[in-house]
Amino acid sequence: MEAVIKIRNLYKSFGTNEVLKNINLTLNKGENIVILGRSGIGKSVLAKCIVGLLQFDKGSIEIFNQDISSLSSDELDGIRKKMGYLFQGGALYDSKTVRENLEFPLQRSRFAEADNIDTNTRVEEVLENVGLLDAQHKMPAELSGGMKKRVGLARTLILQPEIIFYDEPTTGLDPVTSKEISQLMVRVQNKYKTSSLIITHDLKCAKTTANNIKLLRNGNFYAEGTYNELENSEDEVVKQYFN
Amino acid sequence: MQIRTNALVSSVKNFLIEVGGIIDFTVLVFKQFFKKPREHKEMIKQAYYAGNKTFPLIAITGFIMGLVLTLQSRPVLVEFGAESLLPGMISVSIIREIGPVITALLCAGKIGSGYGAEIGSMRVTEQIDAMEVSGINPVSYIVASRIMATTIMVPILVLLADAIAIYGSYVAVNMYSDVNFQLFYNQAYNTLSFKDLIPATFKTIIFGFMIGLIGSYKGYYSKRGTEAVGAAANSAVVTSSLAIFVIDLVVVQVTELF
Repeated sequence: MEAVIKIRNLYKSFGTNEVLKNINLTLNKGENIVILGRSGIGKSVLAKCIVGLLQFDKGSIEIFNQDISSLSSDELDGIRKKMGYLFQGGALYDSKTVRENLEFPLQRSRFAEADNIDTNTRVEEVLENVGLLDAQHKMPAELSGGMKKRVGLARTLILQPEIIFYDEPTTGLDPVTSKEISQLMVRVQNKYKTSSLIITHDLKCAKTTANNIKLLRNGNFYAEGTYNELENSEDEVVKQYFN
Repeated sequence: MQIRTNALVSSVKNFLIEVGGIIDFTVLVFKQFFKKPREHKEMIKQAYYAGNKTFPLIAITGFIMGLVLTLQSRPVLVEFGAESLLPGMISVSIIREIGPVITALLCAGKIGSGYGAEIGSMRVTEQIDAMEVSGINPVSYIVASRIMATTIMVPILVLLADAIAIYGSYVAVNMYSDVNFQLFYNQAYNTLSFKDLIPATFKTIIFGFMIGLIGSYKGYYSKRGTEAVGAAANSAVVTSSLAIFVIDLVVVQVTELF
């Protein structure tokens, strides 16, 4: 299988607090990996190191076979345009309408350079995919938490990314909306053939979306496997998470 | 004594870190001015907001400034029989010093704090991170456009404030005697030379740049949390105001050389 992300011996600390210690991970094309772990354990730090929002201390991260630490900021921007990131709170641009939130990255994307890009069609297509076509003229302040996450996902999808990072996609949502978002993530993967790294502590979300789960504990991956394998594990630590 | 020395060393260290940070940020912003895509549309939008939102405040303050300055200066000049010098004296003091400094301080309070709070809030809600991961350069889109906007708008606002302040002065003069509008303006402008106008305009350009730069810097590097947004706005006003006085001092000293 073709690897889209390869992480080798990654270390990251904040002062004396070592958050990530010797992390190794490979995300293959079309695969969904869930990083599971308690709050504050460093799951989001890992995702932010991968996309270059945080500098890591040691190790290497390769995305599409390019070592990101050796790239210039323009080259990194080029790679970022092939990735999408769904933030925990949606991170919608609050001075722009839902439609403008979607148009904004599109106007500056790799597609903007190509002629004949039909912005309207693209915006409407992704909004329809997340079930929010009617909300296109609303401001982010008028949306519920679940709707913000959907718009955030739509904004991510509009650039047709090859890799999507989901940072706590279901946190703070009611069970019904959580389930809808999880199912939406699976539909997105099937439709757009994306690879995903999903950061969560929501087991239901992990069960619905994961091909492979990695349990982060004390800065390292403590266990990994499919949902069923981990659910049936005899290890006491793993059992704490799954029971 | 030891504690005081440590506190002083720490304050100096923090001050130098802050100055270093602002210089670094300035270099980063300057690089964006030469990079594509250039954010003309966003710059025009920000210039419109800065001018439109600040003009009423500038206009009222300018009018009062001219009025009060005239009312307070007139009795002294009357005593020496030099009342006819009043328009010239007022116009020189407004255009050279009071207009630029007071307007810049108002802009620091209104625009600088707004930038600190707005960009700080964008940092807290991860909007800046969202731009970065989409491959959009936030320094170019958010910061450079705003700095360009204030660099252009503050001098324009200063010129408007100067004109309104001189009109305020005319109103004050007319409270005591009936002076023709054209005569007043002729006297006011005949006293002025390019030597008064050019350094004053030059320093307003620097004021505008610094207001945009410091407001954006404080917001861009604000810490996470709602409290940090307030602190960024507050710090933007304090630092910009201090910078305005320091720049004023330097420009006055430099222009005196010529």
